[in-house]
Amino acid sequence: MKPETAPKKILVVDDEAVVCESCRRILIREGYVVDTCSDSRTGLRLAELNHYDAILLDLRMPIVDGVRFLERLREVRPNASVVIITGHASAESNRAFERLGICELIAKPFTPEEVAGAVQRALKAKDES
Amino acid sequence: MTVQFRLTIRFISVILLAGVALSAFTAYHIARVLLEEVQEQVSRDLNAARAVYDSQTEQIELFLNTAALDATLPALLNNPQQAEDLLKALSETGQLDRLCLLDLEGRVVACAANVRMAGHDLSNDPVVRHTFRRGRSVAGTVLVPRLESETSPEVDSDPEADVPIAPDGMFIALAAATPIRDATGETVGLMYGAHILNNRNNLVDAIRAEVFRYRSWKGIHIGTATIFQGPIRVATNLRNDDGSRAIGTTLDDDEVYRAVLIKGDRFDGIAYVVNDWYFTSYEPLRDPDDRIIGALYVGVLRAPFMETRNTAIGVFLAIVTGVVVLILVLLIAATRQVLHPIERIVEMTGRVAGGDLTARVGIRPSGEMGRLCRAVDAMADAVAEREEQLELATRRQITQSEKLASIGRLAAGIAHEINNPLTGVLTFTSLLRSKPNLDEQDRADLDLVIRETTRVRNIVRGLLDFARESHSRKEALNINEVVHQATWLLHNQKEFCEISMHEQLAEDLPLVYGDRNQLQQVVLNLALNACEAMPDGGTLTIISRAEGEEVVLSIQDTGHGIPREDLEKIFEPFYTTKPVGKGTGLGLSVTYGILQQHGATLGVKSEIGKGSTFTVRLPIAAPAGPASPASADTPASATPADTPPPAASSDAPPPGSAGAT
Repeated sequence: MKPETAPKKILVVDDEAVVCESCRRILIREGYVVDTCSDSRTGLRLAELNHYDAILLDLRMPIVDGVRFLERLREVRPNASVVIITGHASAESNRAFERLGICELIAKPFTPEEVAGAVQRALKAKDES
Repeated sequence: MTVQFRLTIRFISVILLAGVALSAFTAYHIARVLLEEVQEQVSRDLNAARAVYDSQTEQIELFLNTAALDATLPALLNNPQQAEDLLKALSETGQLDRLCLLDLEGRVVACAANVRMAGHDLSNDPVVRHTFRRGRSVAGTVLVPRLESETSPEVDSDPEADVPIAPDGMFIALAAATPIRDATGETVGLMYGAHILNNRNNLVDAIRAEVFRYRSWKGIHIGTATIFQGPIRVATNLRNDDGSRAIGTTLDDDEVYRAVLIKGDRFDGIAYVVNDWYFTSYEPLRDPDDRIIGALYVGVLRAPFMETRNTAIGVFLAIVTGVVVLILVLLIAATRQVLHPIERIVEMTGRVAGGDLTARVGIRPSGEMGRLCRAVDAMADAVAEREEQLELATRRQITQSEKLASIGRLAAGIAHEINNPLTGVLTFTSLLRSKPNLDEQDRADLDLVIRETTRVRNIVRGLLDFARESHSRKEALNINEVVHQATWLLHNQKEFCEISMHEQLAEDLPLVYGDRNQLQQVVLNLALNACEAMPDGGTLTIISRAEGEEVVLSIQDTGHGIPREDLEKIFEPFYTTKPVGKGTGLGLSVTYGILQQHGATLGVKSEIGKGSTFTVRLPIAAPAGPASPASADTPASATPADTPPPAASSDAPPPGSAGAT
């Protein structure tokens, strides 16, 4: 399902360039406008300056990890849709995500379909709310 | 209550009992022997007193006999005037209250000038009568009447005068009479003399001096003597309370009165005399006619002897008490000595129990205690040695399991790192595969890359699932899913390729409530154990079924089996049959612990050479339990509400689904 009017803007933050690139390629194919950033601090700055429809976020990052990234993000963009990219889901992080309003989670390594589907669901949930 | 205390109490009781019995017996006998001895002495004293009394009588008789030898006497019988002077002199010499010359009729012819008795008829006096009858001198105790001159008003009115008491107007007297003979030897008259005893204490005092030798106690003479006229004391050294002589008092002891004065018997015994208790001896005084006219008494104050007796008993009791105390002290010391090793053992075992394995009894008393001490020390040695071995083994096992744990963490970290490149591979291969202008061979090749990459992904996820630190997170789950996940991991273990695995899983199993990872570990542990029991191959069968309120999971192998003696030990931590370094010995005990937390039981049946069956019985989840009731009915969607949907994909996939993407 492709966006019909203005293309949605997506930010991907992951310290692994290959993951960023993978997401970018998958999401461009789906018709989104995609920014990638492999430095969480820069990513946070980008998210503050620009409006993104959805943000894909790696949990394990140096300097500012995913959870702290999310906490700061919520201060400036309380309503942004966030999809978490994780190496491995655990009960603890699940609870933390609930508190921060995360609805989607994709586990590495992912297939293009998983990424596309998760982003789609996240955007749809935001539209409905 | 300590043994020492009980022993001591018993010994004390025995000793005290024996001491009391011995004391009572001995004290009684001391008293009896002592008092009997005194009483016997008093009885002998009466005899002595009697002898003094009799000798006094004899002296009078002798005096009269001597006087009667006077050749002028027959003539004097007819010349009373002359006789009186002679008699007066004689009476003073002989201390006689009466001294008369009698004619043959018994009539007083002449008497000493101080007594006016002329004309008195003394023929009824027993002494006179017996003298006439026998024709020789006779002496004895008699009653003599009081003379008018002895009651004269001038005498009575003088209180200073020593007025003798005269019961019924009579005096008791020592009297004697002797015939007076003329030159031819013919009896021509009698000479009669009497010594009145009333108020004359010199006789009783002489008795006391003779018999008791002035023995005294607290300034009182303890020996007493009395002469009774009838029941009246007429001469005595007994004292009234005011210190005066108890003359005129009456013998009021009925027993004594009846025995002595009526029956005429002797009385020996303790009696109350005047104002105190005495050892007494009484003897009747008879006149020559054998009539009882009075009594002679000697007595010894009882109080000093009671005091002596009490002192003796006191000293005796003090000695007994001292001995008992000494025995007790020795006894307590002895029991201390005997029980000391026991205290040492108690203290030592306490220290051992408190963890000080170097504690030893140390001492070696002789006998059984010594053997006991040696045995306890030997036991402590053995315990210490075993503890050391156990500690060594434990340390080895802990090192081993920590090594395993760190390997697990390392593997998890590596798995995470593998994920990133894998993401790239999977993404770009998928993107390549979606290009429309691929030929058939390229498409098939890319499909293979995708399938194999997905397989790698699943292996990594399985590893991560297993290595994940387990925080018990219970949910309602289908045990079959757990079995699938576990066996899927096992399928990837190359060393089990000789083993054929079978699953006989019942459909529509009720859900159980438990931690997915922990239960997976249980199945994995049991399955790995089963596989290790079949080094040369065999069949591993996992069976699940519902049975009443439980879900039963059996893991059967066809391995070498477990010896009967090992069966009860296999759930103990660190028990292993594997060589050192091969197994931690923790697998089954961890399994057991997990199952206990789940309220489940673990049973085992084994037959040597045929194989073993481990059976897990899990209680089924309560419908109103923490799991949502809706999901309890639909096992397929049994995911708790707090788990986000993608988490389901992070669980290990069912076996055989490796390429199904």
